[in-house]
Amino acid sequence: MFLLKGLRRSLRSLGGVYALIAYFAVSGRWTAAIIAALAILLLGVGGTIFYWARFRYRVGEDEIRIDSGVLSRRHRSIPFDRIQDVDIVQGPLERLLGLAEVKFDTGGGGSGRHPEEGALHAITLQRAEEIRSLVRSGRSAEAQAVAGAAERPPVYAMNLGRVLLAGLFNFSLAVFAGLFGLTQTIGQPLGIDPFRESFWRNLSSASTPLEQFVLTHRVAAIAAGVVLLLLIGLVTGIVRTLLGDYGFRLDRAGAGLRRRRGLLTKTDVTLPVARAQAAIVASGPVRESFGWSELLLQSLAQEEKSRGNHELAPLAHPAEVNAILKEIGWRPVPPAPAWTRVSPA
Amino acid sequence: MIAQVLVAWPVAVAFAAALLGIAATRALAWRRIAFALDGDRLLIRSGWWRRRLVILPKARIQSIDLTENFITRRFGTATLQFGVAGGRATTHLIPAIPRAAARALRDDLLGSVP
Repeated sequence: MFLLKGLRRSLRSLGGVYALIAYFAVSGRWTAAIIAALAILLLGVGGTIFYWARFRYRVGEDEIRIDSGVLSRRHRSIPFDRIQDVDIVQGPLERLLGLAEVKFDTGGGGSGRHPEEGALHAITLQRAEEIRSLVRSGRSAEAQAVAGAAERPPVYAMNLGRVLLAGLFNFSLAVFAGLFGLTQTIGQPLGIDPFRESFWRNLSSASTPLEQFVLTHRVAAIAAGVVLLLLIGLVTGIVRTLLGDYGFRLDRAGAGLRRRRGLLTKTDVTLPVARAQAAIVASGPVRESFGWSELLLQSLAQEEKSRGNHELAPLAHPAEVNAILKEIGWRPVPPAPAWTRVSPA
Repeated sequence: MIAQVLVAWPVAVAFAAALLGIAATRALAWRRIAFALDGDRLLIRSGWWRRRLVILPKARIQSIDLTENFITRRFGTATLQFGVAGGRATTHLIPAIPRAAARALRDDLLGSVP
């Protein structure tokens, strides 16, 4: 498992060589391309094997030691009280094999230049959870209560319908870029190019029935193309949201909110509430008219994506937003605050 | 020459439409930008297509910047920028408030820091 992951990472980092291989392939020098590809594969596999063989971690009394590296060794020791929290991430393959990746959130420096160094890849899920509870108990005694907390109802959860609805709103605007690209490429042989003046002239001067038939055919083709693109945009949005936010739930967990979500890749992170800087309620014109909004928390803790703002609720009603805010000890959003508009200048 | 102009006009129209769209969105967003003081926190509302309501507790404000450039000076407005822990990527701002109101708001927020 570690092999696969490391392989993937090293393959990605060798991106520039792909261009070389492609060049070889395109210019007909097949043997060179194959040799280069094989070399990359060998290097990648070999490198990863060496890395794995030399990767050691040890959970100590009050710290985690990670020794890694082949040529230049790195001995990293992370004291428990520097670890803000432990994230457990499981991709689909890892779920099948019962493994997990453990990432240590050290509050701002962890995912700097070497994110892999502060993380343990492909350890068994049980061990991962043991490490997590150990770290938490090492930090504060009250965290023991987490283990004891029974299945209280979640602070906020999304059922399948809600996730699909959220996917609907995440309509991919790349559709329009696709539309443009389509006209430029496929449009040429079909004679559909809105940027050429003759196109419009042909449209308006179709007189004979034959010409009109061809014209309607073209228009139908355009319409079909547009509909297809819209559908693609819609489906892409829904699929992406489904993969990312399936089974979204927020639970109260000690001094934070535990958020679980994901379909193929499940993530399980706890967001410390005390380090929250600001709350953001985001929405859009269509969403707002239906009463939906999104709750984000700006915090010092790290986030895998979305540049530092933790998503607490992708799609929620005002009542749910206020319930979450109450849970973290904030007052709810005032219904009609006395807004002061900014100067029209 | 005339043929070139004729060819170019759909592009020009599309371009102008896009500009108009951007301007309209900006104007709509402008009408929504507002702030409010709610006890111990500051609420900032912004945007039209991407709407955000920022709830910022006063205690979390690390720094307040009041800036003016030569254009805003003529109109008598100023921009307030609030820094929170986490660096410059995480600031919140209120774009254009009359200078006196900006100063008053800043003093109020600064004064409430324990």
